[in-house]
Amino acid sequence: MKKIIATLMTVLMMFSVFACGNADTQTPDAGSQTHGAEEGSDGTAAGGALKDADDNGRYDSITMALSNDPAELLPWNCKANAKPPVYNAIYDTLFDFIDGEYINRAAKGYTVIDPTHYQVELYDYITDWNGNNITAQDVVECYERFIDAGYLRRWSYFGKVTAVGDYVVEFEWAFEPTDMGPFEHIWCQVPIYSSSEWNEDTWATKPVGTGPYIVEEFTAGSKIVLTYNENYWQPEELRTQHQQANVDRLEFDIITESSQAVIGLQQGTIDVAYYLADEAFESFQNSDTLQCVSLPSTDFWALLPNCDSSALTSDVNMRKAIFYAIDSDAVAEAMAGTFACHGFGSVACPDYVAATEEKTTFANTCDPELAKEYLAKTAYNGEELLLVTSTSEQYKNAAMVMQVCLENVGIRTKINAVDQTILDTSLSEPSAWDLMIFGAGGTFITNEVDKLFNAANQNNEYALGFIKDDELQRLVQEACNVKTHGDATITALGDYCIENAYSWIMIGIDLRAVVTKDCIIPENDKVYIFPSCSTYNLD
Amino acid sequence: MCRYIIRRLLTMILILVASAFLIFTLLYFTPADPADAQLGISATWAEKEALRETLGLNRPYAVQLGEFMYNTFIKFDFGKSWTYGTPVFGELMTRIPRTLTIGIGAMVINLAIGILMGIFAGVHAGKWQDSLVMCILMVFIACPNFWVALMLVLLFSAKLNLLPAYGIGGYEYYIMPIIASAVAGIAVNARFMRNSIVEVFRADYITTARAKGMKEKLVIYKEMLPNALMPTITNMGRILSGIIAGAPVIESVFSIPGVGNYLLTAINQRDYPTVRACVLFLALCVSLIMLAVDLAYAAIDPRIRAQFSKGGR
Repeated sequence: MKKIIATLMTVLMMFSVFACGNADTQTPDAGSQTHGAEEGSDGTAAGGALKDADDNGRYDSITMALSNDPAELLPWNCKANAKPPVYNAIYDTLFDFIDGEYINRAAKGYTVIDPTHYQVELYDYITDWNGNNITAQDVVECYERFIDAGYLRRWSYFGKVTAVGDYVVEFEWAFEPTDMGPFEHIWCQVPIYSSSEWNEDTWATKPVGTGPYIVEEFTAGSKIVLTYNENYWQPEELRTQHQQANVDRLEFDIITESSQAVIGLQQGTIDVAYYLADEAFESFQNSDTLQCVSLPSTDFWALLPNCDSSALTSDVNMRKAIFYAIDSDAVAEAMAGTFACHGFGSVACPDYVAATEEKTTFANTCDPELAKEYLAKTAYNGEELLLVTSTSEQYKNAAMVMQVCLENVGIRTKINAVDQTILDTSLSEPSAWDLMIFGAGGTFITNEVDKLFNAANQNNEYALGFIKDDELQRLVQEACNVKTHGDATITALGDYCIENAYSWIMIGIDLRAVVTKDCIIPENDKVYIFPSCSTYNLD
Repeated sequence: MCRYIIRRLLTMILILVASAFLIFTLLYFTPADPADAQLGISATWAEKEALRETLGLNRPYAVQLGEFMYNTFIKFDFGKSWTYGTPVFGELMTRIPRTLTIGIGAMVINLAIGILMGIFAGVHAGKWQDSLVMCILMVFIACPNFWVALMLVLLFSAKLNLLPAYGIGGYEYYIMPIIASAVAGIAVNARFMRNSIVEVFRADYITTARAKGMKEKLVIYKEMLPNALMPTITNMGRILSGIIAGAPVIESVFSIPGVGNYLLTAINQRDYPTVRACVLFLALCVSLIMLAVDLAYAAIDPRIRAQFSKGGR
């Protein structure tokens, strides 16, 4: 009897596993295009005729899946928790930062009075959703609230901001900013709104922004619905890229489980999703109504060796042995949605120096024999190196490929996959790791290397990976300084890092998304997808 | 009886205080820095220090504990979420109804189906009906709730397009989460019920009832069931606690913004105020459930009711 029951259970379980099957990627015709979906709709297909039902030149409705819950719409912490697509639609900032350039948004432009005083002139006709005119004093108070909320980060040179005219604000810096793109955070991540509308108690769910979209519905953890602002202050002919509003209705569904996002795409209840697993992403390649988009982004993954004197990897020969043993193309293939960086930094960065690919280095050459030569020069005696990575599937795949590569040359490693927060904390513990897979990003190469190699970020004691090297600091300062930034200084820094086998920016990450075929994502949207300002085929 | 209830409520306060102390201490000694979690790796050392100072993380353990206990139990203020910047209490109040809808819904199904299946199996103990029910229950127990959830989504959403796969809205959004939550509990309930029925089936008072000419249905529901219910009621308390505590999984799969999802996000982000508040909420729920179970005992068994009335226990 027990055998019969056991057999029955086994058959039942196997049946259910087979019944999962492959996802049917043939979505209902035009199902993804018709999403004027009401709440409670199960997203069944409807005709394509509703793309621009009211003939106003805008797509009717787009639904985007978000992997994290924005939770609130307060005017700070704008890059966290999948907020950017929403915030770009409901708020204006002084400028947008695209491809390293400041693009006018609420501001007409800026004037350099002297190295520590910059004046920004606003449009004098900016109004919020309730018709309030935005003045320079509003801008000043927005910044003051932003600072009071505790989000004054990476603004070490910020002094103060004052209103010097009805529509002119003056920024005073504590010292002359010399970084590349120094105002990316200050000017492009602080939302502007009317102080008269500010209400600390209600703003989190009912903000009053100035953007081209108005919040119609906000349910924390579930859904955000935005509708086009017919009274948006900027005429269409003057709107810049991120001010474009090409959709009547935007819906952002918070779907933390990527398999649910896949089902949503198949059913047509979702039109845009960007965090799918690799297999799911590939499964939409042949869809009739959806397309797979893959754009190189400025995010990257680096392999950090521990250069603390107590670590085996403090020996430059050991580091070179490790780096020459690893095939970065194989790692990129294992991770999917990534590409190997064969030069210094990510190709997506506007200041990428292509010439750095021409030299034969570990970045573009996997040479196990050379790795063994370097290894022979070390005191390595078969000890196990600790390779620490996050628990993300991609990171673990990368770690496994690296482990195999290192095993081929006789270097033993043990992979330790930990929670991201523990990983971040481990960075400052020399005994906790020997190699670490580390992810970051930045608009410029120099932003990327600043994170990795600038000791000022670590209380001036050492750079990430416990690197103490004054020459490295000098080269970092030269490359990052706007006055000396250029191919020569970037190349010099890159050569030095490679010569000493400091952190290896190994893998660039593609921005991958499955979107409706009617959607054309701008190529310079390298980090986030903004459905409001993508263009759409209305035919 | 009232004195008993008051005494239990006072004990509940002590339990909550102890839970608060425990969760605070555990979080305090948990590895990983909340400042790292909040700011990410790109933040500088100075920024992290500034945030630690703002959040009060640099203060001594006793000071932090004292402030937390005072705010929680005297001011009823759980503070603001470090991740979202919004008051934790308000957010909890918004999310609790969704979690309770799933929990209570699952419990109702548990009771309805589990008890009936248990009675059916118990009454036919040793026969093929009993074996069939036991087989079905074993499958239910073997299936993890997240697997059941995903299978339901595949079947009813992806294939049949009958129910929405995720989110909140009307009642149709809660059907699959409730079923997924209830499955394992049905099996456990039914098994307990079945065993209880088998125990009382041959009792003398049952034989007497039959000898008196009572109809079999009345014998089962009027004589056997009240006596067989006691272990099931105990179990129901445990199951309901498990359903509410297991909400993170179901809410995550179905993208339901409930307390479980809130807790899961807070744990990943090292959002201590939220974690503490959610854990205290769960502790309160479990305590109330246990109190309800004890009162149910009294309602069903007059001997226990008499004991409570005399102030015993």
